[in-house]
Order: sequence, then C-alpha cells, then structure tokens
Amino acid sequence: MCKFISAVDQTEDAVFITDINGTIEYVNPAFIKMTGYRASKAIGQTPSIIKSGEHDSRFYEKLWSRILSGKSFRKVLVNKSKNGKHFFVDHTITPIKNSSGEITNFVGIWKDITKRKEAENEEKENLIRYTNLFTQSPLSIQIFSPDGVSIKANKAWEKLWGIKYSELDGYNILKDKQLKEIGIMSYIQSAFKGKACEVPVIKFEPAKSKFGKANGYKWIKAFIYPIKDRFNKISEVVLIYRDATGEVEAEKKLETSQKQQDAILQSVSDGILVQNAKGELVYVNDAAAKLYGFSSAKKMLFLGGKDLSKILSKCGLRNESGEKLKFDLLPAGEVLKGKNIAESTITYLDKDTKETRWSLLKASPIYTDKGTIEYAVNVISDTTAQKRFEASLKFAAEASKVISSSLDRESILQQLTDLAVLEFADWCAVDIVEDGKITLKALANKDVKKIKLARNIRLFYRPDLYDRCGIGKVIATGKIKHYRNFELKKLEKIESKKLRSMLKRIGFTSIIIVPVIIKRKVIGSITFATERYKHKFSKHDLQIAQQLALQLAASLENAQLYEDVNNEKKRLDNLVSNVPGVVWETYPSPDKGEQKISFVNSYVEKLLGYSTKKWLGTNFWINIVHPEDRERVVREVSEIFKIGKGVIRFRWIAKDKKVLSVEAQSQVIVDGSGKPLGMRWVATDITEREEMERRKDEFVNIVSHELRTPLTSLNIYSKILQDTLNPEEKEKSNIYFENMIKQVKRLNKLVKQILNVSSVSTGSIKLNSNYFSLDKLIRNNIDGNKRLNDRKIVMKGKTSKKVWGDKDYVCQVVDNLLENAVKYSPRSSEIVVKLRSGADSAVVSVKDHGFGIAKQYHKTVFERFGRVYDQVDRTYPGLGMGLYISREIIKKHGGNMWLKSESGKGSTFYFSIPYNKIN
Amino acid sequence: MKRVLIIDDDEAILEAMKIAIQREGYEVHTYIDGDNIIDKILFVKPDIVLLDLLLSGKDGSELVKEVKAENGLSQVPIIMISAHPSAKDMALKSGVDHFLAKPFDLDELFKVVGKFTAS
Repeated sequence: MCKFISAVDQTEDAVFITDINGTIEYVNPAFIKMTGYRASKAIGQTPSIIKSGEHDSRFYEKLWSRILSGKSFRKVLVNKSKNGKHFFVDHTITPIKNSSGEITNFVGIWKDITKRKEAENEEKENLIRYTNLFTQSPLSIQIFSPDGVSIKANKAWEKLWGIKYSELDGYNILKDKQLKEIGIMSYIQSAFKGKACEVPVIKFEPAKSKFGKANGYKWIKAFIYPIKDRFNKISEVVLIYRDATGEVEAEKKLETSQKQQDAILQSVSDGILVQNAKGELVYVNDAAAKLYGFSSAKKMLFLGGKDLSKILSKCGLRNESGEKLKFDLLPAGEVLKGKNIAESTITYLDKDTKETRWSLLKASPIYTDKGTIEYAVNVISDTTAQKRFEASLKFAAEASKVISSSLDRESILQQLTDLAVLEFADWCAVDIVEDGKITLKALANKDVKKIKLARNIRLFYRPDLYDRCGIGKVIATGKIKHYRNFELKKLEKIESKKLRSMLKRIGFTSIIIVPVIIKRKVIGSITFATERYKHKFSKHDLQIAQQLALQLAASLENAQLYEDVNNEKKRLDNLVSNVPGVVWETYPSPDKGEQKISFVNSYVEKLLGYSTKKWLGTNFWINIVHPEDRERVVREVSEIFKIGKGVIRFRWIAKDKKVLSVEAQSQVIVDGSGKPLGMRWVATDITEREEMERRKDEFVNIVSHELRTPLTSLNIYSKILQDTLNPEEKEKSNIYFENMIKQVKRLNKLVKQILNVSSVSTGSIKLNSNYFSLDKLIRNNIDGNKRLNDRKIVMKGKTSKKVWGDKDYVCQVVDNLLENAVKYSPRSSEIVVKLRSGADSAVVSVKDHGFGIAKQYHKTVFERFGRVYDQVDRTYPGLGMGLYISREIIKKHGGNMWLKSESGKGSTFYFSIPYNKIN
Repeated sequence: MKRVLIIDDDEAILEAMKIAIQREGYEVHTYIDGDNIIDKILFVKPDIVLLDLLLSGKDGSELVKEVKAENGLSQVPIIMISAHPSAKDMALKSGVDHFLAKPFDLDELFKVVGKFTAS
C-alpha cells in the first residue's frame, strides 16, 4: 500500500479519492498543483469546488448514474482552479468495489490537457485566418495538385481573369503550352519539384491557354512554391501572382521614350553632354563624343571614364582667342558653381578633315526637387558654317570696301590678297595676263617672312598658258581648280631641284585656283593655298573663292573702265583743248530763259584773250559779238535751236579789240528722251579764210575786168569789121563773123557769170527792187529769147499778185532755168513753165523731160561749181555756176529754190519770190 | 554834128569806140587820161561824155562830181562805163546820167548815145 501511495504521489496526473457520496478523502500532490487547493482544504469537500460552470447539470447526472452503476466515466472536463483559471482535463472516474461487490469509494484521475487544447484552438484560428487570407487576398492565388491540376483559386483570381473559378475546367499548369512557349515552364516545373521560385514577368494571354472564356492579356508577376506535408512530400503547389500590366506598360513606355530620347540625342547634330553635380560625365551623345575626339559616345564613356577634365586635356579644345580650354572655364563648370546659363565658343581641329571648326557650348542646370543642382546639361552646337559665313560676309564686306576705296588696280589686288590671308587662306596670289604672259601681280601670306620665299619660288615657277596644270591651265581654260588634298608626291615631277625643295618647305595642304573673268575673257587667276597641318579647302571655301574672283573681276573691270573713262576724258580734254576752235556749252535751252556757259575749252584764251573764268556762268559769247552782227546772231541762234543744228557766221571782238570772223557750228544737247537741254558750240576762226576768199574774189574780179575790157573792144571791132566789108565779101564771110560774134558773146556771158559768182559769194549783190508781174516777165523772156524759139515751151497757170524784186536778176534766174532745160533735154520734148500763187509768194516751176538728176546730186547742183553727172559719169558743159547764182539771187529776194527730179525722168526746178519785201 | 567825148585809159577800147561812134555820124574826141577833165570838156564842148570810172590816177566819181559842180557843165550828160557792175550805185550817186557795164553791146551804146544827144 505504501508503495502504491508513493507512486500516486509521484505521478503528474491529479488523483483524488472520494467516498460514495463524493466527499474527498485523498488528493495527491499533482492535484494540489493543478487546482491550487491544499490537501487540507480539499479533503472533506466534494469535487464541485473545481466546477467551471461550463458543463450543465445533465452532464453531472449522466456521470453519477454511470459511476453509481459501477462503470467508469471518461470525458474531457473544464475545471476551475482556486485562482479562477480554467483548465482542461481528461477526466476518468472509476468506482472502487469491496469484496462483496459494493461500491465504497471513487477514484478520480485528471490528466491535464490544457496545452493540447490550446494548441488545437490555435490551429483552428490559423486555419480560419489563412482561409480568409486566401479568399480575400488582393493577389491572385491558385493552388495546384502535385500533378499540376488546378484545385483552387481565390476571388482575386476570378476578378483578374473575369471568370468564375468553376469555369476553369481541369486546367493543368504543367501542360500549358503558352507557358512553355514563353519559356518559363522550367520555373514552374522546379516548383513542382520542391523549389520555390520567382517567375519572370510574363505577358499571359488566357485565350492561348485553357482558361475558359477569359480573354485579353495581362502582364503577370508570379511567385510559385510547393507545400509539403510532414513527410516532406509535396501536397500542393501555390501560385501567387499579381497583375503587373500597368506597371510593365508604364515601364515599357518609359523604356521606349528613353530609347527615343536617346535616339534623338544621338542623332541631333548638336552635341549633348550631361554632368552630375560632381562634374562627372553621366551622359554623352555621339556628336559630343566626336567633338571631344572619340569615334562614338560608347567609346568616350569607356575610354574617358567619368573624369572630364582628363578628357578635355587630351582633345585640344581652344577658346576663340586660341587658348587651351580648362575644364573649370567651360560653361558647365560655371553652371555647377551656380550660374543659371553659361555659354562660350570653342574651336578645335576636326581630325577627319583637318579643318578648324567652331562650336557654341551652352550649359544649363537641372535642379532636384529640393532646388539643388543635380545635373549640368551641355549643348554643343557646331557653328563652323555660321563662323565661315560670318567670315565670308566680313570678307565680302571688307572686299567691297577695298574695291570702292580705290580704283587703282595694283592697290586693289594687294589689298584683296592681304584680306584673303586674314580669314581665309594662308596664301593668296593674283596673276594677271599681260601681253600674253602670266605675271604675278600681288602676293600675300599670313606670315610676312614667307613672302620673300614665295617671290623666290615664282622666279623658278613661271606659269605659262601652255601648262598642263596649275595657274597656266586655269587661265587657259577658265575652269576653276581645287586641289583639296595637295599631294607632295606630285612635286616629284618638277624638274628643278631647288623649286622642288622650296615647295616642299612650304608644304601646301590644299590649293584653289580660280580664274578671273571679265566679259568672258580670262584675264588672270587668284590662287589660295593652305600650308602644312592647316585645314583643307572645303566646297564652301571653293564658293568663297569663286565669290572673291567675281568681286575681283568686277573691281578690275571697274578699274579698267575708270582708267578707260579717265583716259578717254584726258584724250577728249586734250583734244578739246587742242582743237583750234572755241568749244563751249550753254544751258539751259534758249526757250528756258537766260543761258549760261557751263563749259568752255582753254583755246578761248588763246583766240580771244579772255580767260575761261570770264566765260563761265554768263552768256559771254554773245556779249562779245560785233554789235552789227549781234541782233542777227541772237535770231539765228533761236532758229538753230528749233532745227537742232546749224552754222552761223559772225564777228567777235577780242580783248585787244581785234575783230575776228568766226564760223560757229551748233548742236542742240538733248536728254535721253530727246528733250533739249542746251546747246554745244564749236567756233573756228575764219578771219584768214575770209581774207583769202576776199582776195580770191578780188582776184577773180580783177581778172574778169581785165578780160572784159579787151572783150569789149574785140566785140566792137568785130562788128565794125563786119559793117565795113563790101556786100560781096560780106556774103562770103558773114557766117564766120556770126560765129566770131557768137563766141565773143559767149565769152562775155562767162565773164559776167564769174563776176556774178564773186558778187553773190561776197554778198555784194544789190537789188534794185520794184513790184512787177512775174507772168509778164516770163512771157517776155520766152518770146524774146531767140535761142529758145525752136523749142516748144508751154506756159501754164498764172500768179495773182505782183512780186517785190529786181526784175533784171529774176530775169537772169528764169533765163538760166530755161537754158538748162533746153541744154539737158531732147530737142523734141517740151518744156513746161508753170506759175502759181502761194500764200506769201509766187511759185515758178520749169519742167524738162531730160535725163534727170540722181538724188545724190540734188544738193550739189546748187553748189558753187557743182556739176551733174549722168550714168556714165560724163559731165555736161558749163561752169556749173548758173544754179548757184540763181539760188543766191532768189535767196536774196527772200524766196527759195529747190528741185524734184529722178534719174532718167526729167527734172523740175522751182523757185518762189515773196509778194512783199522781206526784212 | 553831135560831139562825143570819150575818156578811157584803155587805148584799144578808146579806139574801137571812136571808130564805131564816128561811123554812126558823131564827131568823136578821145582822151586816154582824166587829168584836167574840166579843161578838156570846156575845150571840146561835147554833147555827151563817155567816162570810164576807174581812170588811172583819179577816182571817176570824184571827177563826175567836179564836172557836175562846174558852172555850165552840169547839163552835159555823163555816161559812166565800167567793168565793175557793182560800181553802178556809186556812179549813179555821184550824179552820172547813165551807167553802162562792160562788156556792152554796140547797139546798146548807140541807143544810149542817141538818147542823150537827142535834145
């Protein structure tokens, strides 16, 4: 028994013993520990002290009826300890029977199962929680069996695909072809093999898989993991995923736009270079990389790293004044120091073309939200074309200045070449063709010291029009030559060693030779050259060169014209001043008020003694006209002005009071539209000529007088002789006497005519005028003139008024016309004399049917000793003075004399005599 | 018989005119110079004087003026003969009665002489 008690005392289960009424007789230590009641307190009590109130009275009735019937009762009970704490026990009550089989006591054993119960509750709660999590998760959760068949999916899943899970009939993820195609099946499979993994983002189109009616597409980001049981066997596989469509597409968009941006930045001709706040390079495009001497942006980022200052020191960028650029001085440096926008111009040598190029570097900052500078963006734009354009404009402007500043050819050439080497080339030379030889006219170099060398070269190199290349060829063909890359190899062909070595010393890089063309004729060339290591002439440069050549041609043409005009002016001045006559111009025209002399040549001083100054500004030439001539001169000037040109004779009184006879020719000066502006005069001294004429007339006069006197006596004697003969003799010799007298008469007439000519030409005819009838005079003339009797002369028409004139002289005129008509027309033809009355004068015409007078002689027939020639150039007899005298007589009467005639068709001579005296 | 005085410095003319006029029935006196012309006229007492204008040594028109101014001689007709047709005006001014230009026709001469000696 003792052993038993000790075992009960040591067990962890609570043990108590009651009597048949349930009063506690024994409790073990475990009971005390479990309930909190000490043994003394518990013994004598019933177990109801530990009732929790969780079980109802029926529960206890069942208990009692069972144990009183002698059977054990086992149930889980909830008890309450002394401190009120509930605890679960596995409760067993067994009745104890004595030897007679009567129940004496009950033994109760409580196994404390509180911990187990708590664990069970926790599990329950977990299940609820997870179920909720599953159903209410915003993420789609799909659960698969180990063989891949879909078992379950949550609401989010349904929402995502827009279908009920029930529609997904027997979907097996391991057999989804779409996932295989996308290439993520390996991830899925590895999950089914027990390894959790993240699936890359995929674009899933349910229509391509067995996903019921679901359609469209979703970008899916998934996590897949297996669930294992306690035997580490996979029980299910869970696929959790979310819709990443928005974010993927946004990302895609971003990516695309970034790509586009990058493409734009790469493709723009402007260089773009981004630095961070530390000044490190974070982005560069190809254009910028090229600028810094790298073949591409990638290479620059790779080779140059982030240290820009290091890159800069290598790439030889310079500022406008040619100084090497330091990193700090670049605009970005200033921007990073806080300046808003900064810019500067840089120059560098293009490694490909070896040309100097210009760029404008502009930097601007990019700020963070907080307002601190995050980046500096540099935009580098190539301004070479602009610079060149500016340079060419500057050059053109300077060139035109040079052109307009001088008309001296040599100085134009030198100034232009000097200009060309300032901006454009290292060398410039101008060659001009002179007398078929090409001559160097101007030469310039940036380096003055080299000009001597170049001149030395030209001593050896003399371009020739027959050259097959170079200046000679360009001038010969007129075609521009552009040696973009001048190869030194070519120099090897040159025979002269010295020339070769000199040319090599200079080392031309690029050469342009442009012809200078004036009026389609090549007059020379301009040569531009760059030296070793300098830029090569581009197409643009070629254009500038051509432009220069054009300008030069224009300026040379100007100079030439100026020279020509100047020479012409000098020649004219020389000519005018050496003309033995006074040349002057008067403005305005006589109908526009008082005239003034605007020009007079220096001969006036020589001829008249008056200075040219005296002449200018007044109408001085009229003032010194002889008073007797002045009125007539003024009248004749206005007549000349009406006609357009004319000749007048008058006398000038020189400063020394000497009287000079002059003949002045005048021409009206007109503008482009023919409007008269003034008059130009050329007066020649005819004093001597007049004197000569006077002497000649005097001579003729004297000679004819001397002739007349013997003629008179000859006439008388022949008549006397005829009379004194006896009738017999007279009959025999009468015909001889008649002939003799006829010839004497003819001689008489000739002498008379000569005298008439001299008196007419000296103007010494004196008219003894009266009113007389022209009709009567002509009738008498026809009737009285025996010589005309055998010719048929018809008189037609009549005049209504008498005319004023000298009958004798007019008779002489009629005589002359009739005689001519008889002389120059066939015997049988008639001669028609017609009279008619004009408005102011009577008009007489004498018409013959002779051989006529060709138009070319219409003027000369009226000239002194003018002769008419027939077709075979036979002249007709007579001194040719008759018509001259006749016309002068008629003119003296204030009338006019003219003719109408055609060769072979006869002639009609007209004269008019005014009715009244003409002043 | 009417008396004609001819003064001319050309001997051939003088002689020819003398013969021609004499043949017409006039008494002709001739002088080769115009010196002392008034004395000559007074001595000859002509009915008409034929005078060459340009006598050597003396201006014919002056002579005419002198003659016409002389008492008793103003009525003697003086005919001026000249080789200068232009001298006609001057001659008429000086008071001559008629002007004949050389060369003249004999008939014309006879006509003039006849006319002025008629009265």
